Amino acid sequence: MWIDLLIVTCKVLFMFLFVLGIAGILTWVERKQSAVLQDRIGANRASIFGVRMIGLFHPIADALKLFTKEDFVPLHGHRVLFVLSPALAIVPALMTFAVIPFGDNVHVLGREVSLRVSDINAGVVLVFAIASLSVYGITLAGWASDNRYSLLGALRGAAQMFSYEVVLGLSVIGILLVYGTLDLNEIVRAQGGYWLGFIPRWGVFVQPVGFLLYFTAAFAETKRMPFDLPEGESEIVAGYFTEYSGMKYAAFLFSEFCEMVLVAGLSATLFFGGWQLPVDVARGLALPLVGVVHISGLWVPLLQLLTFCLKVVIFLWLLMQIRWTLPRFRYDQVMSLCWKVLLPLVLLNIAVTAVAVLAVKG
Amino acid sequence: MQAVFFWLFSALAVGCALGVVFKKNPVVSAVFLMGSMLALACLFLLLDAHFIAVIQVLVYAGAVMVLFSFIIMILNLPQEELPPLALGGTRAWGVAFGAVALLFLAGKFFPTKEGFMPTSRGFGDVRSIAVPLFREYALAFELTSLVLLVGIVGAVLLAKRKV
Repeated sequence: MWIDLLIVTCKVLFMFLFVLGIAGILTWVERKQSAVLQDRIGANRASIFGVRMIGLFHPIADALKLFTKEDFVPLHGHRVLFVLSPALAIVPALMTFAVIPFGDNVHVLGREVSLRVSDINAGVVLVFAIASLSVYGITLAGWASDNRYSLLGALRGAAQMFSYEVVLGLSVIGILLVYGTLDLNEIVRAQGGYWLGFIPRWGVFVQPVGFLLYFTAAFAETKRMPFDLPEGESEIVAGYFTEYSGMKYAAFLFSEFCEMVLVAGLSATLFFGGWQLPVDVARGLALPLVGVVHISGLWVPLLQLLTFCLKVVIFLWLLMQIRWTLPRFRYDQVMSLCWKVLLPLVLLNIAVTAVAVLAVKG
Repeated sequence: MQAVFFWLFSALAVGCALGVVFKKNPVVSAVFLMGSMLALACLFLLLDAHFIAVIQVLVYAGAVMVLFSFIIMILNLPQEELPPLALGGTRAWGVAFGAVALLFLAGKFFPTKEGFMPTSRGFGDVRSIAVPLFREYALAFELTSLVLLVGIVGAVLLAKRKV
């Protein structure tokens, strides 16, 4: 009983540290990667006793600065909802990681422990269910601010996220049809091994269109450039968080980064083999000169964790690269892209996949 | 442990439901309704009905209520207090009907001599919902989707007439 509770606590702690830690570093990556893209040096001023660490202390300096800023609450807005909205934005972004597996089940202390927080059997749907709640943070923030720009941003945000949620949910139906389960761990297990000895059995090779649609919709859900219409600095100041300052503002920023981590994690899990190692654990890894290296014991989950993290990092790099490459869409373009292009495509993808699955499995 | 969570989420659901009725600000009411639905989802989770719980969150809290609050914000109702009820009898009628409904529900759901039926294993997971839905009740399911389609077409027609 107590050991089980301890294990769950450890998993929850690890998940929070993982997501928040990466999100914290992402604030630095965002500045540094954009700087590299634009041929600048980027953030490098923050130093502790003269040690600069290529600007890696900036997240700490930012946090200190944001905590000491004036905490402004608009006079005529709705006080309670104004304070509540940042929490409503960041909590769903953190909770969704509960069903994403970091590795295969391991045997610890005489029991089988799955390397994820919750073993709910409707895994994928839970992710989308909780992610769909993050709309409230935006709409209520915009409404409670008592500011026209905020309200406009909130309405844009609600409409955009609501529309892309439809595509997002439908885009993974293909992968669910192929693997016949909602359990993310089962989906990852089904992606082990190789075709023809060298092509990994990843979901992206079975569902290439599904992956592109998923990635586009998920990107739109993070509300980052080119989909950052709810903020739209050049049109509506900062959109739904115009009135926010200090750490409340940072909560919105952080929820965006957490959503990025989620998108990366989910892409890796659903389409790129999740924690699957690139080697056959049973046969070992054949290295030139060294011979066959066998992986056993706790090395297996550790390497799986490392593989998963590496995939997440690669996707985060890709997300950043897209964000700093493309200019912002016009609002009507975003909406017509969703309803007139992506939605028919995603429905077609489901129909084609269903027929193909039926033909193969009989 | 389960009993603690049951009472916690039940109290939360009922409290939020009361908040929906007693708060005069429509947006605050909508938030309370969302809270009530989330608490209900947690109750479903306690019954091992994972899929029903998730769908409860996805459809009601995540979609229907978002649309509600979206509409409320677009209309942006004035913040003034609701006018006092002109008809003295309206409130009494409301209370009377509410009491009758409550009695009916209580008669249906409170434990009888036999007590409650325990839920079977796998109750409310994906398979146990999908198989009856698409085998036995396939026709009813499709007809329901047709009703929804009619509703959408009707809404578009009504909205287009103004333009």
